[in-house]
Amino acid sequence: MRRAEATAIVIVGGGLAGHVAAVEVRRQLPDADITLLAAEPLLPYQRPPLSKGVLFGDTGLDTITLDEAPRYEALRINYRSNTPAISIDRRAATVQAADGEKIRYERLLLATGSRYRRLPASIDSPRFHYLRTYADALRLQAELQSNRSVVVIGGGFIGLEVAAAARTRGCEVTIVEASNRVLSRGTPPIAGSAVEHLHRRHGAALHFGQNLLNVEETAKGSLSLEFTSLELETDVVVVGIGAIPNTELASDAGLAVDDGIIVDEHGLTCDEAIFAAGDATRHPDHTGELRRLESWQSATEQAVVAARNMSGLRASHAPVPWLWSDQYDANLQVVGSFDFASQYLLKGELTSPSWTLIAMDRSDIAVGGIAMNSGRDISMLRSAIRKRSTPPPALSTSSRPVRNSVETFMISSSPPRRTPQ
Amino acid sequence: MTTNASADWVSTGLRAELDEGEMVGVNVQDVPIAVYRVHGTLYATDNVCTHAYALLSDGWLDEAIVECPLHGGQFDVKSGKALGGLVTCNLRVFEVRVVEGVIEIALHQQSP
Repeated sequence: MRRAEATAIVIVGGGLAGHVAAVEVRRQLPDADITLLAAEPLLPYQRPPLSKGVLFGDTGLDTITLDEAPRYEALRINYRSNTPAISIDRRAATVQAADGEKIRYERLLLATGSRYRRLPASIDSPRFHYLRTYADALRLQAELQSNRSVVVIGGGFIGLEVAAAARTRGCEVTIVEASNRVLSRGTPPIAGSAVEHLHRRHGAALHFGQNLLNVEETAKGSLSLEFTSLELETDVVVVGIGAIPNTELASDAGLAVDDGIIVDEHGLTCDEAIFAAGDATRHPDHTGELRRLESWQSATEQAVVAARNMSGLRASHAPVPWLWSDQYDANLQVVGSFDFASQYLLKGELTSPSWTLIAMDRSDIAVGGIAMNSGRDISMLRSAIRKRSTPPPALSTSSRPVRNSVETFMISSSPPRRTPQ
Repeated sequence: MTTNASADWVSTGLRAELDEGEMVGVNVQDVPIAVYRVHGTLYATDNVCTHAYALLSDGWLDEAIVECPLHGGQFDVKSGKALGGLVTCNLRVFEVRVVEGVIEIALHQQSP
């Protein structure tokens, strides 16, 4: 008896989303023919430790390799490292791999991820770093030696995590940001001020409103940096100024792309045989707003959902945006969005080790939050945001209204005034 | 829940007055333990997340699922099962009984 031909599933991208999707398809379709194309030489791994544990030198490849990736053979997942996809022929339903092979698909998943944004002023030097891959992290790790000076360009989550790791390893750290504050994308000014305070308290220097104009190697091997109105000489430079979604494969194939591959809540692109998941996508959040989330949680959930739909099941994903970042002894979590925030409640003091800032819209509905070392508050807020309700009483009764401005932070961080007796 | 008579029961020192939907962390013979009450029943698991160092009792309990305060890893408190995503290692779970109003757990007798 002739066996029915197995469903051909092709997944492009060997990061978290591609891996999770491959494993989930196998779980749902025991007979599917699964090919996973990866640009990198290694098995898929966790990226969050690259800006933390790997830089400390205490987290190796065996720790960060994603569970089940070493079992690809047993799972009958045809994993092809060093084999990026070059193009998609939608009419023929084939993917052209870099090794020349054309691979036929019935369902295709694009999990192409993102790449780092480059500075116009860059230099090819072992002391000038970007961070995306395990190899990048290893190179940087070797440079972060005690008493060396490190300039981190970019005050976003990655830059701040690298700054914290470098400072913890005894480096002298300077953070230089082009905008007027840290975490300028996606968090309110008052929260940025509190995070800035965290870094100053640990001995980092910070400069704002500074663009890198020129970088040169000095005779003694250090790097000389010229910013808008600042000059620095340093041993090591790390640039973390954001990510660009890898959408070229999709746009060349005529799929809808707008700062991310556009997908619906099922992970489906405008071609019903092609799905996309992870950092490369822009997808609806819990309000229906299209967002590009660079988030571990979202990449995982979206990949599972896309994989189930590719397997003929029905699943959807419309997340409340949520991410976390570990810096020094602080666990920062951001939930929801501040786009429609018009009122803020603060629990705790912004200069203390734990606090929660709650954002509400004009109708007192919780829309976002950011917290330091207060994960429970974020869990409660996430649930309120999803239900579009007011903040839970457990939070609101222990909070007070604050204005969202840097001045608010300065008032809150000054010592309590004493009334003269 | 079946109670194993030969189990080595250890007092947690906690009164069995835990409210519905609440959890509490306690050190029992230097082992960090979390005790939960879900739909009237008491459950006990390890209190330290299997992913990174954090106490689950500082997290969030929603029905029988506890969520870690650090990175949101979730576990079923009845079985200890890691519910995927970031957490892949299960928690140990311990049998619980109440003797004269005090919560005891079978610390050295892990449930399967």
